[in-house]
Formats: sequence, C-alpha cells, structure tokens
Amino acid sequence: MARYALIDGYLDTMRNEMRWRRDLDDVVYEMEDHLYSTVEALVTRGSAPESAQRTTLDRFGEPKVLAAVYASTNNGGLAVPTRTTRRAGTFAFIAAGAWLAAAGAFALETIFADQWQVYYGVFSALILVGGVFTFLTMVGLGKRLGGLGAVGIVALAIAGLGVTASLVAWAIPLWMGLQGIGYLIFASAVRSRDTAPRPSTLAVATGFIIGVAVFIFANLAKVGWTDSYGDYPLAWAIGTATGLLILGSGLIGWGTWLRSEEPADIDTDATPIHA
Amino acid sequence: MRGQALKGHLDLLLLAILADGAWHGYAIIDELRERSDEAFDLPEGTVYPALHRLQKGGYLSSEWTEVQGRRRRTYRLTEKGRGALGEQRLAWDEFTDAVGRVLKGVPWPDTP
Repeated sequence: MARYALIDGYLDTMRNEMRWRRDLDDVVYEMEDHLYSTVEALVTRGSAPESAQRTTLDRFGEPKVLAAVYASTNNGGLAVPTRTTRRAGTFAFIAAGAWLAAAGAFALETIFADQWQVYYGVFSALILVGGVFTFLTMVGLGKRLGGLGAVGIVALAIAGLGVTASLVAWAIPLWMGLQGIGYLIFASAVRSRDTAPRPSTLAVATGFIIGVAVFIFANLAKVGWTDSYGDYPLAWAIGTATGLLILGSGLIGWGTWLRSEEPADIDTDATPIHA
Repeated sequence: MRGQALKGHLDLLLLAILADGAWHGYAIIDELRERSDEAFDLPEGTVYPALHRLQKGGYLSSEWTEVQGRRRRTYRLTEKGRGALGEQRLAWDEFTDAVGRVLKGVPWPDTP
C-alpha cells in the first residue's frame, strides 16, 4: 500500500488531538481507511496524488473541529480532560488519603479505648475532609465526562447531604449510607460513559454500600465485645474500615487516571451534528 | 446543503443507508452523497462520531476486517436499529405531510 505523507501527517495530528481516548487506535484506523480510500478513488479518477490528498482532507474536516465533535456528548458537553479535571485527580488523592487515614484513626479508637476522644476527633475531621474532597472529585469527573445531567446532580445532592450528615461522625450508618447512595448513583452514570477505569468506578460505587452492609451484619452477629453504650466496637470498626478502604482504593484509581491525562487543546466552539 | 441543515436527521439517514446491508464508513458517506445528489455537504469526518453514537445506543453493530493491508470497520443495522428506522421514518413522513398541507395552496412569493 502506497503511503501518502499529507494523510499520515493529518492522522498524527488527530492522534495528538484525541490522545486521551481509550479507543484511539480504532478511531484512527477508521479514519486512515476512509482517507486512503478517498485518495485512491481520486487518484484512480485522474487526480495528482498531492491534489487528491488536499481534496480528501478538505472534505474530511479540520482536526480541532473533528476532535470536538468526537468529544461531544448528547447533552452538548465536551468530554475532554482539562486543567480542572486534572485538579480533580489531585482532589481524589486527597480524599483517598483522608478516607484511609480515617480508617486508621477508627481502628486506633477501637484499640486504645481509653484515648477514644482524641482518635474520635481525628476521625471526625478526616471523614469531613474525605467527604468534601470526594464531592469535589465528583464535580471534576462530571466535567471530564461532559456533564452527567440530572442523574449527576441528584447524585451530588445526595452525596452532599451525606457529607453534611458526617458532622455527626458517630452516626456512621447514616452518613455512610447517604454518601454510599450518592456515590452509587454517580458511579453508575460514570460507568455508562465507559471512559473511567472500571475497577475504580466499581469500588467507588460499592465501597460505602458494602461498608454499611458489613456494619449492620457484624452488629447483628454481635462480633467482638460490648462497650459502656452497649455497642460492639469491633463490629463498628470492621464495617467502617471496609467501606473506607474500598472507597479509598477506588478514588486512588480515579485520581491516577485523571492526573495522567494531559489537558486537551480543542475547538470548543465546534457545533457537532446531533440526531 | 450545510451540515447544520442535517441536524436532527443524520441518524435517520445513516439508519436508512444501512438498511440495505453492512457498509463501512467510506461507502456510507459515498452513498449518502450519491443518494442525495450531492446535496448534503458536511465534513465527512463528522459522520463517524454519529456512527459510534448509534452503535453505543445499540442501533448498529460493527466488525473489523482487513482490506488491502488496512483495518476496516463495517457497520450493520441491529433489530433495535431497524425498529428505530421504522419509527423515525413514520415520524418524518408525518412531519413532511403536515408541512406540505400547510404550504399547499400558498402562492410562491414574487421574486424581486
């Protein structure tokens, strides 16, 4: 197969313009087939190779405009990495760190019961930080995916309610349950876009729901000893740590992905054709 | 005809072309141009995101083959796509009939 320099240069440009796409190779292979088929047809009809390439590229479209069309979503948003979405990756790391540290603080509170007030204070602060930064991560991730519409807003509202509820840190099933529902709805919307890493999205979706389930089950099973309130500290610790660790691992995955993407430089004024 | 005029109708056109069998992108665009007597003038590259969207929606399926040393993706209508084509075609017929009835009997304005 003869190679055409202008076409190959164009394909390189498109590769760069859409470098964040998971299906980049397929998209470029399809373009290559189209562009080469067009050039070959024009050359067969008598066009000079260079002229055929220029005509082909004129008909195909400007790289920046096409990259925007490829990135456009049904609700008119652009699903591209930006500085904001990279920042969301940093927020995800902060959130994950806070959740994992909170799990540690809760374990220490359970082990060193005589100093529980100190560890409870640290735990309370960490879950608030974790909740706030998870919320910010969700906002940034929503932007990365071109907006998640009404479902995304509902998920953020429920998660936000859960973050507020976490001001009462001891009411673990309440705030973990509310946030868990919000994260589950949000991650389901993220999953439908098939862009974010799936294992991380699954971990975020299920982390707190599993945590609450383990919490309830362990308490019903009366795991461990009872404290002066008649509660089962070990059961509380197991359920809480399970939720925090799963969510934290999911956020590390999201953060790694969001931070790994170079901000896009595409034509945001492009007007894609939608059905 | 500019691409903007196709807004809202591109899916129907693509489904209609694929009703005849499996086609790859270049052939679909060529067929679109030919059947419209070259009336639809849109950047050819913008057709591919529409095909991908239709596939993601379950209206099309696709498979890869190798032709002349190049990878080629061929699209095919699914049952869901065939149903959508029928519905959209009916809606289009009703729309054009309604517009035709409104315009019927209205004299053409004098050209200056």
